[in-house]
Amino acid sequence: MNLGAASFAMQGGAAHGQPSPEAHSPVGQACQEIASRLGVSPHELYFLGDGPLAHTLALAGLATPERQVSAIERSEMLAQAKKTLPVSPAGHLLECEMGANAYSLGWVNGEIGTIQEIDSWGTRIHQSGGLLHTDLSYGLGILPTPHEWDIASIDARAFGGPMLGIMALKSRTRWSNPLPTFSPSFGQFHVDQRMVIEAAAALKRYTALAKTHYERISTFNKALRGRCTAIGNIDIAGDPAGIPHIITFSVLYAQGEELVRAFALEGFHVASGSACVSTNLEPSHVLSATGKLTHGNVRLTIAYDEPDDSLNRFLEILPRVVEGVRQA
Amino acid sequence: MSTPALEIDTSGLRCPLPVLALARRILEIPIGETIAMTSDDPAAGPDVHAWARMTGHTFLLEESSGNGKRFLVRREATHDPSNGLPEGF
Repeated sequence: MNLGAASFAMQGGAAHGQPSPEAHSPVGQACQEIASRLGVSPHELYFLGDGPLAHTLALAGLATPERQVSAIERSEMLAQAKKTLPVSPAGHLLECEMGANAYSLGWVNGEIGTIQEIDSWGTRIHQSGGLLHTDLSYGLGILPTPHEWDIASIDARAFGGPMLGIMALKSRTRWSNPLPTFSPSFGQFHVDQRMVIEAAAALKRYTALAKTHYERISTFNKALRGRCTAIGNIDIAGDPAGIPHIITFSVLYAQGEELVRAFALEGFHVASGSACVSTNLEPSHVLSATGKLTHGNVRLTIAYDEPDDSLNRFLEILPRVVEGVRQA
Repeated sequence: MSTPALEIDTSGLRCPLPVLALARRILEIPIGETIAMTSDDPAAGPDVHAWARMTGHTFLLEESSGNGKRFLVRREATHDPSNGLPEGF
């Protein structure tokens, strides 16, 4: 039995129709579970070493020089863009002229939580004869999965899974392996089947947690936005109607690195899109593209089972931490 | 466009210091006048835009200047006369 990338690599350009794993084996069941969440069949799934690799190959395989990519996609997609498509301040793709061969638009943005109308964009792209690649990582297991796309890529770590990239390629999609020279040595793409089983189990757990705690985390999201507004001079990124567990805000006159450190001292692990925290000293392109303040940035990715005590404590310490860093 | 009332150079400073300098120094010029700031911080472009939106001043112009950019901002009668600067700044 061959799984995933090994199969596509061996098949070179014609990536479709490899045998599915036996339905009743543990890995077969795992594939079935992941496939049903994505609305595809197991033989349309490919497993790769990590999410970024899946994102890169998924878009690169839509062989066209005309890739148009939303300005808030991951760098794996933006690096392949012939044209970058602007977004609104909330992070929604702006109206644009359809007609390119291939588009890349992520479903839920992993930095600011904004949700794109994938089904509606996909329909329009299909009507104009184009193909849509979408990164489904951050909504999977939480919201009903959209279906009007042609190829999707997922980083399993987004739902608490292992380091594993998943690519879902609808069998009608014209896609060719962008790395054909790797075909003879597909071992480079080998994925341990236990990773697939672990990913399916993680997705199941995550789905159950998100279902139980969605309202609770949404309440926290609103409370945090309210608290930021009350403190003042905080630029909240993304769409208030976005996914509740991803919240990003920037504190005017504060340094991102100092904020990360101050929250760590209080026991909270937060990320930051500020230039001072990034390795290349460039601020987050998502913040720039949405016109948000890039310094003093704090990004929270909240676990759906984060206890109320800790969420409440975050709200409680926020004014003090912000004031402390602003004065520092 | 008329000559800016004040010209500042924040080259070498990294975020949030250029915007902090702008917020402080714009208070030295009369409302309606402009301040020019030069910066070589890659974050300065998006930050000056966002800062102007948040405080209520008007972003007029962004142009290349040496290794960085030069920004032109007009001081407005904003709702918060201190630009949200914490006390002591």
